Amino acid sequence: MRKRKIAVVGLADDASHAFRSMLRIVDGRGGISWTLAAPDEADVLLAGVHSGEEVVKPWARTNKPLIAVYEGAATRPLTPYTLHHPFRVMQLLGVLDDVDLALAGAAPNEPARPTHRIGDASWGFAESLRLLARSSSSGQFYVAGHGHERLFVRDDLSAYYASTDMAQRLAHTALDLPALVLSSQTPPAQFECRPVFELAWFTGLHGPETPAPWLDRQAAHRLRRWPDFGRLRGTRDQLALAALLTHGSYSRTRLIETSRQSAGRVDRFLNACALSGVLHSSNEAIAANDATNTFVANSAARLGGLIRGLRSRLGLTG
Amino acid sequence: MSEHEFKIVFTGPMGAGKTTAIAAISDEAPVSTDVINTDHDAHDKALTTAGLDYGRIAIDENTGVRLYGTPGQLRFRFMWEILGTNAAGVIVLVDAAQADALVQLDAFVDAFGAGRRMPIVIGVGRSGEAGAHPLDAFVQRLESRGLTLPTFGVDVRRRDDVLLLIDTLLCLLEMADPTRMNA
Repeated sequence: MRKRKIAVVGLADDASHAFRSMLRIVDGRGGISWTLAAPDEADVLLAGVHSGEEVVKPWARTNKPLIAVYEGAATRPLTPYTLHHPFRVMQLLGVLDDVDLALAGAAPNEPARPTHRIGDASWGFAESLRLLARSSSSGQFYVAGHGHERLFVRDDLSAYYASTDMAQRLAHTALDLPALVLSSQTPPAQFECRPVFELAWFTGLHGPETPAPWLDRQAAHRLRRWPDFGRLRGTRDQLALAALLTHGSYSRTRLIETSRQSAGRVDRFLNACALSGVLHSSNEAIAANDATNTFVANSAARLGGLIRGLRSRLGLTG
Repeated sequence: MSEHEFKIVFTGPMGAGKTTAIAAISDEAPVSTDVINTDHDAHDKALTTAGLDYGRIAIDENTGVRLYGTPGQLRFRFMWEILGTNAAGVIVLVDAAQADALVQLDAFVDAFGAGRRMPIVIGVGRSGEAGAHPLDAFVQRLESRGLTLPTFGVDVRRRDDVLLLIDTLLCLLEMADPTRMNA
């Protein structure tokens, strides 16, 4: 049985009690023994929003997994591992299994083999946003840019603020922003307030056409959840990649081959998913298309012509 | 089911917009089996679908896609199974402003195999309204059950939003067998 140590900080009393009780229930399942430990001895940190900044800040600079806990109607953190309180046993099991897989590999979701130095200016803004997602919040604002060409991000990642023009451009092009820095200012009243998920998505989607520094080129990827394409207006290519990553786990190379999309387009999609916290990456054995969906065999071949015909008829030209 | 046709099922609770969604893409106004709504606790609208809604999109002379809308009330659940048989996929519509929307999501997703028998795409309406469940609550609900189903905030009165749900369903079907892309 594998032994894993987990530290807990920043949870309210009821959440902490519930977590400890559930940990006893799930302990030993899947061949993993989970025990509570002090942060400096732990493999993984479970962090709530109530306190614990002294622990979370240094932890955020490591490659160790962090499970961010959020409560009630709060915005879901953008970290790869999240837990919603009130906890559910199946959800806790799923996250712990994912973390175990990550620990079993070579630090997936993190830069096991960085392709760029993090100091690379082209990744500066994205990297600062990613690190902010791994930090605890204290109600402050971070800012990137100057004058009207700047945007503010709340450190709890509940929202970002930008001019209408800038928010519109963000959806279509790279904004070439510097890294976010702590600010004593608040956003001007005329700035729009928008969800950070949108900022993270478009930052990845319009960033460099190479794997992000924190994305393992060898890892197997699958979607943990779908981005809200109702808001983000996903393209056909993005829908297709999301569908593939729902049916199974794909390495970057295999995803490029199977989707028949360019490496740059696939990399940008993976970067956007990773930055938005919807991607699960691990070094588990890749098992694409071994899904249990029975519709795979049932619908194969027969629907090909019908799908093309329906798209054409509805004007869904991609 | 004919080799030249397939069907897409729209399901979800009363008032979620199934009839509206079918009307947005059907060649002709959908055939509805509406009756006077006597269940005003569930939804305050005058008419509701008791049997089914039916629409069709002709692809060519001999080929078409049939669109079925199920009744929303639990007591007509037997119709869900009948309409779901041999469906290519299911679009579940829920209204985030309804208090029991999360429980309803479970009921409809489970009734159609939770995405294992056929692809399911979920459209959530009114999630941005004050007092409504946020979209994340629906995603969270599915995620806690290990389900990764496309879940989008939509307004089915907008044709583009209905097309997004359809296109996602088609991508899920297509990518289940990527060789079909250029077949």
